[in-house]
Amino acid sequence: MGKHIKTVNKTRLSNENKRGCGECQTSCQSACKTSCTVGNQLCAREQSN
Amino acid sequence: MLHKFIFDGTRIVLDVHSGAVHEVDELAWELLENYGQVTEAELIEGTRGRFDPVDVAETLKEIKELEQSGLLFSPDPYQGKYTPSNEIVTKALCLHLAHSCNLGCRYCFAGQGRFGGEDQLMPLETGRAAIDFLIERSANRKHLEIDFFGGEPLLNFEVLKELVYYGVQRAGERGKVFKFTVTTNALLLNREVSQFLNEHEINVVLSLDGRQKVHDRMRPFPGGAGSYEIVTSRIKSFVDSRHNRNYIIRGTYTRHNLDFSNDVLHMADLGFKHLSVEPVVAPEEAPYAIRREDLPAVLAQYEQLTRELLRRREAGEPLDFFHFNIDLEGGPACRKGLRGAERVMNTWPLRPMEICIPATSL
Repeated sequence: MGKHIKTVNKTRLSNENKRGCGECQTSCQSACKTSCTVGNQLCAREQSN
Repeated sequence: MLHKFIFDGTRIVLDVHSGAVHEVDELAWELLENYGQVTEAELIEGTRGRFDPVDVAETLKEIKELEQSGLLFSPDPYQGKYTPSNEIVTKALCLHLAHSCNLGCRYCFAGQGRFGGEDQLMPLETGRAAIDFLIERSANRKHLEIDFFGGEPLLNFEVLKELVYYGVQRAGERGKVFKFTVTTNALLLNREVSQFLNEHEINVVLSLDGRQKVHDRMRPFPGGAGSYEIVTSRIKSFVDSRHNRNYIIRGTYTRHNLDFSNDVLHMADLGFKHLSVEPVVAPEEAPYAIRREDLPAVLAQYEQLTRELLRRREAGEPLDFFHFNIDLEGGPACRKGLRGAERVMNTWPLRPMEICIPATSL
């Protein structure tokens, strides 16, 4: 942790070069998923690991 | 690519392609502004007389280390060229169980539930065929979704029940797992319905707009009377019946309540823990439509909400505000973000009389 820069997380999304498993919840522009976006869901694969 | 912003004096830097988030001091903030665009000597020169040279050297070292670790100025993994997959897989269906509604919401994009047509309920056989269709089109995807929507889907509760039974049975036969969600105005959430939804672990999206005057103005009964009293009473009983879990209260805000953070907090004060509010979708000329000139007020509300949510969290009363949920460690991968647009095409709404249209029109 630096003195001038504090890193909050250490995600490295750009290291992912494989395709996803496709099990993400679908997003929708309507109220049926209260506009679920890819941001606010947990990864099912990571949860099960 | 960096996205930098300041919230209440905290300087935050998001490294877009890696997803890394940093909190930086004033010196780092300034150096990052031009880092990589001018020489190091010019960067140092720009700080002369305002910052200690030792601090400047330290900060530059930290920036370089983070850059080498892939946590600052990380490269675009797709280099601006992303090719969507040609694979067409359907893994979700939005079933319009009822093109009919028992409320007369003034901002309803569905024409008071009828979508411009007659009152209709989806026949059971249509729903069953939809489930078969989804399973057939789902390729090797295991987790499939059915969203019961409308109109007001609980107007067709008997069909909803049968479709859950059928879906569970078919999923078991084919090694799939169904996740069901129902979006409801809560009017028909009686004990029997609640019990069924709880027993089958069905997620529920409950429509409530916040304060009574706000809710009643836009969500009256067809005769014009407000629905707040009965809706909040139904939602309270329902939420209690499932121990305050597996639901989201969803509100719509309009130009009439641009102070909508108060509606979120009102719903929190009613005891609801899982909340979301979204801007109304409306034709530009509608008096309740949010206008471009309203955006500063809207954005300020999210900041206001952030402060209050932080305060409540520190006070040991955390609230789950759906739109602020971001998992920084295991959350939105770059490819997921890109595939979001594709994913819309993976969801189909099915109208009561078997008309299939892509979900983008919803």
